[in-house]
Amino acid sequence: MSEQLETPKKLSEDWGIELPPGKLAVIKARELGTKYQGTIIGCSHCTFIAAFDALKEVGVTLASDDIRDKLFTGLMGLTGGVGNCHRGTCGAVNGASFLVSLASNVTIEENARDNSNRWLAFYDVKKYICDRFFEKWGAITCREILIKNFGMAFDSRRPNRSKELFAAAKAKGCRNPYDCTIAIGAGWAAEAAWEIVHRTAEERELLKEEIKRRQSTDKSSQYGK
Amino acid sequence: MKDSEMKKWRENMRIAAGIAGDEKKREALIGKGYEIGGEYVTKYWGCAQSTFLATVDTLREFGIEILEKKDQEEMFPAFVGLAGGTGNVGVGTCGALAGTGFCVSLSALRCQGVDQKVQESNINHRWIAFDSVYNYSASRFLKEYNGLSCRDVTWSRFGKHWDSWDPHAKAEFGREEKERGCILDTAGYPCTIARAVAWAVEDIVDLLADPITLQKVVKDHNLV
Repeated sequence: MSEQLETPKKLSEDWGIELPPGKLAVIKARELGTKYQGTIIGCSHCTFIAAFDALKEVGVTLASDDIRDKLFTGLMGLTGGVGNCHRGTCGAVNGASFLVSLASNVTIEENARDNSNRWLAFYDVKKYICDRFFEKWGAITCREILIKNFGMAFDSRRPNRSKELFAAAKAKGCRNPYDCTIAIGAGWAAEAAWEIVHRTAEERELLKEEIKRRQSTDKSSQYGK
Repeated sequence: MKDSEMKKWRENMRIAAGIAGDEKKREALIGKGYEIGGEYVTKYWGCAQSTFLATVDTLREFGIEILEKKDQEEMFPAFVGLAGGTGNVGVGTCGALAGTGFCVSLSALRCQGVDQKVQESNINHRWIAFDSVYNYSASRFLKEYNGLSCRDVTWSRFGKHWDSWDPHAKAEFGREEKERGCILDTAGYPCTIARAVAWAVEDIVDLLADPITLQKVVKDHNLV
């Protein structure tokens, strides 16, 4: 029996009441994550575009359609723990982290000006994505998440094991907005990005300063000078 | 995909074929990868964003433009949080592999006109990206570091793990980096970032010169 999840059981289309846009984005992201895993297939790129498209539906556009498509094709190869070998970061974590980092928006100029600014993106990705995956699955790597989900992990580089993985997912019936790892990752990413883009400039600066203060022994910014 | 982008990829492939078949040009490309990768180590101080930028910039110096400058700038923020094994937690994919693997995947797909629409029309296209990243980038990491994570790399190279969220451990990592020459001679040492960029630019040239096709992945993976 699946555990109680924070998303309402009714989907966005038949909710019947007007939801706050941030909440609606989370639900839409979960729905799209599930949908894309059926029509496009692949955790990293599907998680990313599910959250991206859900946010766009509620008025948050993180990049142009052209950039979205290019990020989609670059992320595809990082699916399934990198090249579908399952040993690296889970694609759902990866796609969600890319989305969150994009929302954190540490630009080339901001990074080059003072590279301790990069800690803002580290912080957002850790807090909103990694920590939540650690809490739910005890891991962020693909193989370990598969073990937790199915009691088994499969090497998809081998054709028979790849088919076994899809069969295990089908048998578990997890391709739904509440149980699918892609859907959950997309929902968390949309929720995070919604919060991040609604920080005021002052709140963002204060947060950066606090993160830098806590990492004050990181002297790497001085090494390149 | 727009005709103008497809035209650019055809030109990229033509140039790549010339480099792939010329040992001197290939060596020059690899050397430039180490140089620019090394330069960005201390400029941006993060493996994912540094390798992403350095891979694109190195290839551009040889006439291969996998992304326009404005695209690079717009995409850069997405990579920052992927550094240090995802959110600097160490246990995820090494940021240098995330940054370069991304460029490999993008090049392998887009040079054959594969975008989201094409992937949706035939879901087997995704294996072009999987095989390109696995056979090239991931295999290099597995061979050299016996793993793909940030911690696999540091364990293999230095026999040590550091928790980058622990300020004292992070400071010690910085001190040791400086002592072993990674800061003062990033390209020569070489730092993992510079090495990953050198690997990636060579791999992308080979993939552009001889792409992994849909027919090949369908056969290799027994796809329907």
